[in-house]
Amino acid sequence: MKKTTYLIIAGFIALTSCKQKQDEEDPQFDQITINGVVVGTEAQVLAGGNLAFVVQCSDNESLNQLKIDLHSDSDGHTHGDVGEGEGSEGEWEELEIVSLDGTNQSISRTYSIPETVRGEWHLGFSLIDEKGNEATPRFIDLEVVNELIPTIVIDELNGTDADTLVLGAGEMLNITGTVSDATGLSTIELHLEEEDGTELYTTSIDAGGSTTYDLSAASFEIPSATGSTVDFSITATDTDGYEYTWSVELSYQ
Amino acid sequence: MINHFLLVLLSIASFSSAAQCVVSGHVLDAKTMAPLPFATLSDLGTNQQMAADEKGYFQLEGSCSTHMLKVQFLGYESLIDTVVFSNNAHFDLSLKQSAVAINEVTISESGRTSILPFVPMHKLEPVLFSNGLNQHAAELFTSVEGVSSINTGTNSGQPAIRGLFGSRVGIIVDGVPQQNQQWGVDHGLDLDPWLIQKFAVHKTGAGLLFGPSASSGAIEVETTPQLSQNELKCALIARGLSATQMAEGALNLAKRWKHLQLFAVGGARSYADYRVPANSFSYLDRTFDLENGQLVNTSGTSNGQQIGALWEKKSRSVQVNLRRNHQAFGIFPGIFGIPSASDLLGDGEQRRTNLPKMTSTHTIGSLHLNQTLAHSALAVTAAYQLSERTERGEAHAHGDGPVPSSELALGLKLRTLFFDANWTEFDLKKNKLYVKAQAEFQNSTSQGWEFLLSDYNGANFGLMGGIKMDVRDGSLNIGVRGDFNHLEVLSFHELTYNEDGVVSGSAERSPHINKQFFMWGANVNFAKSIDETKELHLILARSVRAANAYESAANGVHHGTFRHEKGNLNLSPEVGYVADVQLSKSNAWEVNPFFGYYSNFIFLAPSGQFSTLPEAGQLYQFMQSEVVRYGAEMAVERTIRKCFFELSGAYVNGVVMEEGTALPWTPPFRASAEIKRSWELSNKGQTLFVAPRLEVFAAQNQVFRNENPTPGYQLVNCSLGYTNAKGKRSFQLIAFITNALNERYINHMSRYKILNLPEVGRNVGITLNYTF
Repeated sequence: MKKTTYLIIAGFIALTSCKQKQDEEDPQFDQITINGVVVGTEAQVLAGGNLAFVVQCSDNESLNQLKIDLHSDSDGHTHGDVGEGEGSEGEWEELEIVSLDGTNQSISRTYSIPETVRGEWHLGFSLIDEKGNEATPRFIDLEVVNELIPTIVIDELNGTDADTLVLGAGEMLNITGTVSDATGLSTIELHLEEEDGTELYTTSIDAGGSTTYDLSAASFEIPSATGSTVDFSITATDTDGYEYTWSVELSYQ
Repeated sequence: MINHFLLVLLSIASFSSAAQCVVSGHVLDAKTMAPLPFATLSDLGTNQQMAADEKGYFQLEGSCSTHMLKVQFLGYESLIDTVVFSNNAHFDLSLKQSAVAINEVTISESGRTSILPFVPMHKLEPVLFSNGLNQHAAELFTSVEGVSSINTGTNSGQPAIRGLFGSRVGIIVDGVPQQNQQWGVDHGLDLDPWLIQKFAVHKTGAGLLFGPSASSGAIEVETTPQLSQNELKCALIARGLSATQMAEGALNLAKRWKHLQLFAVGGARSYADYRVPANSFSYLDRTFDLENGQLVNTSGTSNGQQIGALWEKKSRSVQVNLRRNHQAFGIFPGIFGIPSASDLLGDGEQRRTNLPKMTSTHTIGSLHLNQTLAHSALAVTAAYQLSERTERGEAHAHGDGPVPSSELALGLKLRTLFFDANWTEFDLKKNKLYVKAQAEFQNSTSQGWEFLLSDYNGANFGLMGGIKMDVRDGSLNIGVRGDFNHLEVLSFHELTYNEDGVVSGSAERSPHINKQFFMWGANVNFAKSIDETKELHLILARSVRAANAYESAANGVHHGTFRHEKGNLNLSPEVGYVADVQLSKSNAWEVNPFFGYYSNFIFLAPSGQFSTLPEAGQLYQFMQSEVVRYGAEMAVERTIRKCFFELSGAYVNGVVMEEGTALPWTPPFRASAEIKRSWELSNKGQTLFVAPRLEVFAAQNQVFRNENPTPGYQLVNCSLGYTNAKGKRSFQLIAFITNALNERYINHMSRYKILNLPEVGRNVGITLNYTF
């Protein structure tokens, strides 16, 4: 009986010592270039221009799909080495799944960069082979420099942060900030609306082609509102017709 | 290295001798409670026989473990009963008068026909949820080696037997396979832990008795309390856990009259958001910060109720059970689409549940009839179950479609009608015949603005026959079962919209499926007593099951696994051949190796495609492959100077033959060591115990493609208990701590490992149990 028990224990040890063949057959990214330059985790492009990239990838058996995912970094996430940036302005998303075959592929794409975006985006590439093995995804911090649209910088509203500000009817809304544009500003419009879009206050300021406008001159009295929140926005238009809108939701009592 | 060290420990301890316990009791007439002088008692495990004295009193000595006793007395039905030997335990065994010739009647404590001859099982003994370190029902079952719990959060989990779960492992409650949460392979049990009176684990061949949904094992739960005549039993339980600020209470009431027994159980719990020792988590390659490790919006409530009535007279019994379990909890925003940083901050309220959130409700009514005939026994069960699940979130639309007006993302309802009839012939001299017929009908419907699985209807008819033969020094049981399975999944087309938001057509999301299969399974089970204390079981089983509706037709994002899962309509019935050896020495050790070969094992695997659904990564699809599974469980116990030592370990591996890699979700090697020391205090009826426990989990590097390996870890747990019992009244206070060293670890079997989220840290609990 002892022999039997020893045999069972020896068998148990043998079982637990077994090692499987590990999956070492993931596809891989060989090189990525953006606008002709080989990139690592960072790249810079211009709004209104092109984002042209080439992805070279390979697999020991057969590549199957490449997923291209360009999204804003504004929601506070990171991708390993590609960290949280300063945020982005404007809408721009790209999502594309490209079919592949063979063991080596080079995929080229050119996306038009909207004239209305600015800030940091994440350009991500995911790659799988025919069996479903997935490459370690590649992400690139893409900074979009925009020299076309005006810039609006709001430092404070009524001397405080917009998140903590509570407006009341009859009070003044004092804006600390600037609007600037290299080619010259044409108009600056301020809008205060109820949640349902009912206009509470609107004004249009002629900036006269100046490159900078101090928003402290645009302070105004808060009219009465019915809801608990209001939407406040500033839209600046430059002399070339490019415009940019900054907006925030404010509490109202 | 850890594996080998622990195995050496196990092997050293396995040669130690067992402690002996002395128990006593009376053999009584079940009706008059008069003693039955000189009744014969046999310990079926050791073949030891003895007679009661002239007052029906007996005293037995044996290993301090579970024993099967057979009691016989002329003119009475024989009784086979499972009893736990512990020192100075006293129990009365009641026999019913027989109007017919004396035959061997196999009845379990609950009156249901014993299933022991056909499917070996581990444990069928009274359990008390409050005694353990368990956080939910699934963890209760992990006291049996080879059973693990797949946790989804801290308050829900699903049991896995040797790494298999879901549609392969049946949860059989009072003889009825529980059909709920069939819309995801990892959903937790809808079973209130306070209902559980006893449970048994069947590791191999359970499909023979419980059908294809138990092809790789079953956990059988009994909820009917055992009472003697005119007994009233009440229990009040209160419990709290620190990690989730969980508070719960339960009330059990049971009263037995001469022929009638009524019982009711009710329990409720509330818990707050919980924290993990982590500052970030990953979702679809995006990493998000976690403020103070808090998983916001994970709070919730749950409650369960059961009422039952049992009427027994002579050889007939009727039982009706009604049971309901309800859960409502928030869904961590990090798993319901891509979250934003602000979603993960929550609203500062740790007990408020916001969107996204879900509910799950399971309701069942069952009727059980038992009739002992002259030379046979008949048991019939009928049950109706309704399982409902809702997932709610902020209404939104992808693409150009209109925004829905409701928060209901997914509303699923599954209705199941179940019939079971067993007939046992026990008068064939040395042989016994067993015949079983089962039928199950299902209907599932879906609503909401998300899509996971189309409406479907299913039916399964099973017929099983078995024979038990006494052979030299043992018994041989052979059973065969045939099942006819039908599944119809209705097609589902979703509307497509143009850029103006106007309907432009429709696209097929799920095709119409209509499949029928005839399947057969079989078991051969040889049991033999090697000597007075050692027992050997050899089991050979052919298991079979057809793919269920989810495996065949799912096509949507499953938030529980955080990915797009797709069914496969070409799946054929899965066939497996399993050999299982159980070798045990009473109260000393047990070794249980097994080996299984599956010609077309069904599992969920990453495909070579990305999901085209928004906010979903790689597409996962059910596939079939040739698979080999093997492993073993070991347990060694010994009592030295009032200290009870237990060492145990379990190992399992599965190999996908075509790929040469492990099956996904294979549990790592696990070993545990527990020491329990009890003291009888000077005041009569007062006892104290302390039970430190060490659990060691090896690293799991044997993984399927794209599955992350997990490092090994050790957990230190401890429980401390005080009991004060006077007559019928007893008061019990148990304090416990799990993960005492606050180890940061990732459970390989937790779905949260996909998010790189560790389990909860140190968790302190306290339980008060007052019985009167």
